[in-house]
Amino acid sequence: MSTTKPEKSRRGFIKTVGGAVVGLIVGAGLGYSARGPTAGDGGATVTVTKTSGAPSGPGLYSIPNEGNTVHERLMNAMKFVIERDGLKGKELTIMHPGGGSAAYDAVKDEFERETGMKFVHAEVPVNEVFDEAIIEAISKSGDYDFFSLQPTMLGDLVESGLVMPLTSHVRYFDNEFRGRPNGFIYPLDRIMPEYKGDIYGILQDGDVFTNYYMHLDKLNSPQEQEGFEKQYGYQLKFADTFREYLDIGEYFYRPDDDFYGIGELRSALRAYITWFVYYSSKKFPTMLPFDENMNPQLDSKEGIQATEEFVEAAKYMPEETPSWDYHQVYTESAAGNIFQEIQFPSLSNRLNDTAESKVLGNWTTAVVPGSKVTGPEGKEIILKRTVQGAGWILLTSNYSKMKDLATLYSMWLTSPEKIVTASTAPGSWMDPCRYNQVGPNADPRMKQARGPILEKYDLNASIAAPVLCGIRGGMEYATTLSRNLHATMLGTYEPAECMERTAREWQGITDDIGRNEQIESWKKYMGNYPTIIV
Amino acid sequence: MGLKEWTSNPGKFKNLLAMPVQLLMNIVAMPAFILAWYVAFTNWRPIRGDWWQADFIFFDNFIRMFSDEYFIGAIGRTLFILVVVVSIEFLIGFGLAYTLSGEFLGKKVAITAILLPMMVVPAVGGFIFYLMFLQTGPVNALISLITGTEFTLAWFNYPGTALLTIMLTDIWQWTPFMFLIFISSMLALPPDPINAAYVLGASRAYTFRRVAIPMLRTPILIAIILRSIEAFKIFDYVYVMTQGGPGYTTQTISIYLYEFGFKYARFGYVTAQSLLIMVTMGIVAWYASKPLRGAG
Repeated sequence: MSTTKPEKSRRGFIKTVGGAVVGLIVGAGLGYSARGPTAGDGGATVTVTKTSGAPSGPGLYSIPNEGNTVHERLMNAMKFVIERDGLKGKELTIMHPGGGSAAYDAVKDEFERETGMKFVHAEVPVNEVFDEAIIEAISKSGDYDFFSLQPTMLGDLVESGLVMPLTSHVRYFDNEFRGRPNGFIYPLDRIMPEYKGDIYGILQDGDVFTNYYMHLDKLNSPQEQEGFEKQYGYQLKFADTFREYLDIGEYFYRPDDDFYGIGELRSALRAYITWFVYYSSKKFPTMLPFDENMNPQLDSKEGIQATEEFVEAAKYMPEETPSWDYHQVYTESAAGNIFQEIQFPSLSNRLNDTAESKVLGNWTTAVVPGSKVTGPEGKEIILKRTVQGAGWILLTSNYSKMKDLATLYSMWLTSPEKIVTASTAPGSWMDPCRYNQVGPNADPRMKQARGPILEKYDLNASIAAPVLCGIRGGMEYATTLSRNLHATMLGTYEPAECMERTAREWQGITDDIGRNEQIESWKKYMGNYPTIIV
Repeated sequence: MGLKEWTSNPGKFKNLLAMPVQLLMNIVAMPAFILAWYVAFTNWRPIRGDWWQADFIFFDNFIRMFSDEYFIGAIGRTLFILVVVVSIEFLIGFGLAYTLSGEFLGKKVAITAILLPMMVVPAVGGFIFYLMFLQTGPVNALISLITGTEFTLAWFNYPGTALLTIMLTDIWQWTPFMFLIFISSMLALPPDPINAAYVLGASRAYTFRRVAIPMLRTPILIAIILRSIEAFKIFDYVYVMTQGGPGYTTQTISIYLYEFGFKYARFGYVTAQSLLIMVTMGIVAWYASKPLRGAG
């Protein structure tokens, strides 16, 4: 860590305090003379200080917060801010991954009509969003007002000064951030948006990995039941453990019929996501990637066992899976060529697509398999853990000239009312992250678009572990692990060698970034890992 | 020294004409270049703040890269690709150019057809070859047809075959470049020395080897240097087809620098590596182009 960092912080602190003091004095004076702003009148008596883009302080707390629903309150607040900051007719620009525009387009007309603003997309290929964000952090151009990025990237984005904390906005506007019936699903509401105890992101897409079964006909077939029981000595059912998952995979591996027991995401740069599902259940309450001193736990017997199972599963997949990205796995799954898989929730879009799916009405989901471990009080339990594997959160740029508006838009788009519209728009891949999107009481539009995945989604979410979040260098740890896993899966390394190699490389990354700083961040984040048993 | 002296002396007048562009280049490029050298001696990562806040670590980056197995591996792999593809592209390009340098019906169509791959965007070329080499793609289908047995090789699963697909893509796309240089040079050869050789009884092969090739030395050198520079920067095909995998086994130096630069944001380290490569390549290019300077 550079020794000049405190200097920067001190300067920032002085600027913030100075701005706040001046703002308070000017605001108090103006406010006194005008008797304060009148909320909800379209900003006719806007007399607050001109603290455009201030994340908190008088600028924030003078914004009216009135309306019957989250959507109404935020729309009123946006109108006020636009009037206050003279933004009418200007462009609000988001940088988001390519192919994700449908969700924004679903509410674009309403936003532009109501506010008089223009909404602009800047689409970046999904594998390059982090690069683009880092370039923006360096150039500080302010070209983007906000971003749609992943929690694994958050530590780097915060430390590079690109994104601002939104805790004050979330608390003040109460966008039903937490709790039922409409809040963001626990623990996604913690593992996705937080860094060092502050909220930086507004959830828009929860990538809770789920176990799909795409051939209920085969699962319930008496012949398959009999054949499976004869071979393995127990009944064919949803897998409770990874051993059962692998047995089912082996049983349904029929390459001559172009039918495979398992399909998973195994590409060179993403294999780590699926691996963490295998890994996280290996120790109660959750097998963590690091101990509290940031020493990797990968080369433990649990890590090696997870890798052995991960490698074994590849035997029951289409041979080419390691060179496929998710859309190719989805295509095979929707074509009815896969029996089961642990996968992103957006697979449900394809399985439920009446035009494409060959397994329509023949698929369902279950809680992911787990591992037999020693639980509380020394008893053996089956511990199940999944991951929030990627996910997208909306982050406000520190270099935007309309920070308040960008933040309000993020909260509006993801309000309980609008998030359903955005996530069910044709072509949208925004996956459920609010309680009103899942379960038996989910919005009917969600049920129609997503089908059976909603039944077990919040249960899977409740046991979701984050993937290398809460620290800096998330992408570096992830890519290093992923490449080594990819090589292991294809026979270059043995599982133990893979884990030892990765652990060694992770130590190097931690030392390079700064061990003490990483330990500090990690300790603040570790408590977000799930502890419950389902 | 007056203006008259500058304008009347041809050598100085040449410099005078080039000066505005030189000045502009220096103003635009030099600060960035100097900054790059400074950054190379720091541990700058954006997560540590701005570049001027990074610690100055002297030669640490330069020392470290020589024990970085992935860096060394990427350099070795890239050089291997370079040597193989440039050699093959040279041989095929030269052979085609020689064959098509004579007159025959349909020559224009043949030349246009050969040049077409060069017009394709490299990323698109990579994607085309990715689709061709999929297990269910046309390459396996063709091999199955020829051999009469079902051929289902997963080309991208194995380091050797994955690398082979990348090299084949490069050869397909850039052989036309070699061909273009050679055929234009062959067609521009002065006929007199060649005709004189024939009159003196030299065979076609002998004339070509002893008369034509020496005259083609400069274009051959230019073609090899240009293609080597491009091949060293190979990125698109790897990015589209294998992402550097399986594991790291097709990771070239450009992919490595991209990953360590933009994915890991290790700007100080990557800048040092880039500069070292640039200097090394500069030295190699200097010696490789020595005959050209002599020719000029």
